[in-house]
Amino acid sequence: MTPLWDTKWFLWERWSRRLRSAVLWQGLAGIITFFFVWQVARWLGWMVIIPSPIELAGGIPEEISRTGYWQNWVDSSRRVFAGFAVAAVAGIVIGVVMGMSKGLRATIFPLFEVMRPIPPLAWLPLAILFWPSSELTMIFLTFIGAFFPILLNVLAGIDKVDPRYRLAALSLGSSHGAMFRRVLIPGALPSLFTGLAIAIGITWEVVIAAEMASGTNGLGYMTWDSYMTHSMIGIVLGMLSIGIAGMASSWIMRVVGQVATPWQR
Amino acid sequence: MRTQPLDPMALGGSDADDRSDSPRRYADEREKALLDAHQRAAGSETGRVRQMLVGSNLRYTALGFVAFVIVWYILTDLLTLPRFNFLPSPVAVFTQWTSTDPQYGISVFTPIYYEHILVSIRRVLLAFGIAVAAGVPLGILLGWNRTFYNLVFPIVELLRPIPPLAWVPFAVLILPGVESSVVFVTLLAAFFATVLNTLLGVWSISDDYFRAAHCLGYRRIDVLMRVIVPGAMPYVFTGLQIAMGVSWFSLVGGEMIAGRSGLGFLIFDAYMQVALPNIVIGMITLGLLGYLSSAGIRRVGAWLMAWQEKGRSA
Repeated sequence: MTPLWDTKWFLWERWSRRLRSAVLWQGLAGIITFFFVWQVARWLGWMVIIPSPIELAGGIPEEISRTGYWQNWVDSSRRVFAGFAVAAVAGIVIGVVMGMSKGLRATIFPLFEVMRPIPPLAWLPLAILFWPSSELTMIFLTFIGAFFPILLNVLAGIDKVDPRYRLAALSLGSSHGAMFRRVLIPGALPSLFTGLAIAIGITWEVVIAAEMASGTNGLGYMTWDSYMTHSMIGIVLGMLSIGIAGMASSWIMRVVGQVATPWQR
Repeated sequence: MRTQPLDPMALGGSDADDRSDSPRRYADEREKALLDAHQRAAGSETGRVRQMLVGSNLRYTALGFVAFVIVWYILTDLLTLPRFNFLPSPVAVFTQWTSTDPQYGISVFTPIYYEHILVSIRRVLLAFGIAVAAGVPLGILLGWNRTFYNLVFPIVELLRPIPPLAWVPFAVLILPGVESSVVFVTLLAAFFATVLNTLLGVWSISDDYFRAAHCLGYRRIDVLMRVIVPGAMPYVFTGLQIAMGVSWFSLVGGEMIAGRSGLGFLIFDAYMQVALPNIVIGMITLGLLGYLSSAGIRRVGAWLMAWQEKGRSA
């Protein structure tokens, strides 16, 4: 329908509007000031230990090209996604069961309620003792970190489904299966994806700490190892990599959520 | 936030149809379900989750606790399944915890136990205090002034994705002493949670209030004190609760990796010394403290926001 030049014009219009808006320039000014102050502080000799932005920009490519840098990404992501996947399956199944049946909920929920306030990292020693390999230990920790937010959000999502929709479905003669597929799932999906996005953030946090405390590879270990060898550039690179990894994962979750719930847009 | 749609089918339809239905006449399941939905729609989403979590289910929680201990006992003491026999049993933990002469040095009668608790509490309170003292004003400024927001918020967004615990090596190198680096790591996450929720809180205030204040000739300081601060309060307290939770979370990580005292250290040290019951004692203590501190914030929040009878609409 739309001729090519039209789309082009539209894109140009959007970009030029973005370029003309104050938001972009002020944002850039803020970030540039941040780096500039940092650089000046270094020049003035206030910060002896932290490398300046220019030194970082020079040193980081070398660190990245080291062997094993990308392997750390793979190792950490594998742990994060393994624990996250198990937590998602368990959280969704248990959440749905608890959401559908009041009795089961009253029996199971308090059990989780007792464990929830314990910070995930406090499980580390017990997990090391219990699981035969350090890989499983870290996957278990990420599972613990991700499980509770997913479960709580599934429950909140099911609770949020308007009972009128249920009643309408019932009076239209819907079966249990249809009620589940057409009413409960679409109703709970937005909340579920909120939970998943929160959970993936927590899993990165947990895996980093677990790797620092007991790992032998992965991004967290890389950061810790740089600390041991007093390589400040390595530490900052580790922090940046972890930040980017976490951001990318939540972005993936958001996109998946948008695709799965098109009516929310 | 968005106003509720005027669709009677939508969640939280108007109060009028609630009353004209007079739900009490038909005291059957369905009407009760509807009424329930209205009441829940009146509370915020977090309020609902909160209600679900703490509410009046103390009895159920106690039941859950008992069930948990029984399952734990069966798994570790009665069956001694492979791998489970590495874990300390509830009996061992309990005898250790209440013994006057504990085998591994930690029980309710030893001063060192309370020292670890106090060290951890002091760190959390210090970090939380700094995070709130810095985060709430920053959040209010960000929400209040558009230019300030445009300038500063990108920097916040630049630093926020880095998990607090990834800062541990950095903090240990930069800051003098273990104490300040643990506190720094603990306050980071709490700080960002406070800033973001305060910002959302300021944004959630209806424009009508600003217009009304303007019409009534409020000075800027009055707008701040009478519109922005009370209006943002509910979100601020949601933020504080999240901040308290993440403080404990990061504290444990910081103490495990870098600390030489505190409950996180106690747990990891117990692991190193193979003093297994102490691990569980530390975990339970942490869980209790975390639970009590968020319950405390909820109390303060409810007390400060007594005007919000049923909570804001989401």
